[in-house]
Amino acid sequence: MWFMKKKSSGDVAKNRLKLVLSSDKAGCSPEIMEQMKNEIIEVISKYIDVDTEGLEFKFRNASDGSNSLLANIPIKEAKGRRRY
Amino acid sequence: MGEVIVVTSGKGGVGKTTTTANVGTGLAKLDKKVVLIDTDIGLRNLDVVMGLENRIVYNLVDVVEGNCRIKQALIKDKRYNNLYLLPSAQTRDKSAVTPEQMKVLCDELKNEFDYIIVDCPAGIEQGFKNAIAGADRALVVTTPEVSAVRDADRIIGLLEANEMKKIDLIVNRLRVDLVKSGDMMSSSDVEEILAINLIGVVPDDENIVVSTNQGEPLVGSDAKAGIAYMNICKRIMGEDVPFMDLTAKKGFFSKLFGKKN
Amino acid sequence: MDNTVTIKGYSHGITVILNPDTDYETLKQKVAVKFRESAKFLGNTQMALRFEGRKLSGEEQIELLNIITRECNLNIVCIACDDETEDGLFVRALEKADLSPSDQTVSKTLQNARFYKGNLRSGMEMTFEENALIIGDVNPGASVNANGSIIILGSLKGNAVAGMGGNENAFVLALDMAPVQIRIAQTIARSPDHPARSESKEAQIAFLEDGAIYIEPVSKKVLSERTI
Repeated sequence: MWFMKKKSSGDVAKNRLKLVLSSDKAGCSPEIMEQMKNEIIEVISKYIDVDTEGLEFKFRNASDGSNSLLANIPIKEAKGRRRY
Repeated sequence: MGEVIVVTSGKGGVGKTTTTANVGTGLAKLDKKVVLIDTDIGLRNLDVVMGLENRIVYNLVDVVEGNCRIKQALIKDKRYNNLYLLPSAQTRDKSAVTPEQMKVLCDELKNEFDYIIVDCPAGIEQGFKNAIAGADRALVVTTPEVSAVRDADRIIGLLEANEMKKIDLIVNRLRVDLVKSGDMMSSSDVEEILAINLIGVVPDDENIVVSTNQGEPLVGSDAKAGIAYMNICKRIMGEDVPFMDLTAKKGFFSKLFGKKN
Repeated sequence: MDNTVTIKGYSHGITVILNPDTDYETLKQKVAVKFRESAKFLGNTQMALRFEGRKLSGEEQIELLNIITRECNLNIVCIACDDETEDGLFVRALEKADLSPSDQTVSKTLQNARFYKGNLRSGMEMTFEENALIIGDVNPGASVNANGSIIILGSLKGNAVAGMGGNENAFVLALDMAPVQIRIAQTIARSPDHPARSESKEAQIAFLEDGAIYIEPVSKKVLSERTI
């Protein structure tokens, strides 16, 4: 990409909604979600280089009624390993 | 044996009543025997949208309280002989009817009609509980706005908790121009967030305003919203109808040359 | 001249002026005599009544009122006290009707109340035991019900049910007649589905004749055929 595309308001709406809905379901506020996200990143990035831009956190309702937290963390490159 | 379909949304003003009127009229157009039930006690609307307000003698509360027989309260539509309305009471409140009474009523109507369409009031209180009590399936109506989608999500959760067998989504009042410019969530965005089956997308259409003013649902007309509602009816009946291209312009030449994708 | 009890007229009815120094038992007798003498003159009209000149307890008021209604044919609509303004009359009458707008549904039976001032909005239903006079509009979704006839000094755009108990002589009169439904006794008439927009707004009257409801402009002839 040569230029940064400005995020459209439709996408903003979609992302906000996703966050709101997942915190609605989990019963915790967006602030706490954000904090948790940052702490998890902090821990993981001690060991691996993560792509913070492409991070995705969400709650999922499984068909059996149980909820799970899904974290999709793209890895840039494992730390300490060199490519030759 | 008929099917009871509840039309619900959580948020007010997204088009539940318009959807009820159009889906009901559309199914009647497709030769099904249909009855519409307005469960918004105290704030009735479906009668004016259908243009039947001047025929009301008895209402839903009269039926459940036994002041009249069901048949006496059913109002035959102006245009279709196989379409009826059971209006709500204007001068009572929601507690006048219980979910158990609604279930009994729906079960009774199932013997007589192919489809019973229940217009649900906004909110998640008593009126909502009444509306879904006897329903076999639900149509959740939302607009592509954060507030409406969030409420729709809550409603879907409640419907699932009440073991609703089938829940379908209608995205109403979609503005194609805004979706194109990126300033409105698309129907697939909404579908992705709510993760239930999308049964129809109705474009924002000024013809709806005109039809509501006249008290004649526009389903089946060649207005875009009219086509969209008819497609929803066919899908409700189990037909596999492809989603129409809302971006296409109306008219002969555009039909021939307009589409590029 | 005996001035123990004096009757005076005022804009809304009559004032009964009572001598503060007479003892109550004598006063009762004097009131009875006074109204018996005036019965013919007062006739049988409806009016408000107020007491002046003497502080009366609630019980005394009621007792005097009973004497008055026994002695003459007056139809007392409401009582105003010495210290109340004329507006108090309407307040009292409305209090009797117990209409609080905060009620989710308004459906009350107004005993003997014949006047209502104000607009009836969607969801309001007002029931009168006798004839009803509404000073205001009846909006779509609202309903006026009466055992007798209904007169609306305003627009009728909602429902009107006259002759609820089966009185086929009952009628509905409105300055602007645009009802959703009119019922008289057992007969129901509904508005046309595509109403023609009438230009002139004139008072119209709906009445029952040969099992059908007719709506006509108010004229002396039509009115003369009505009974109350």
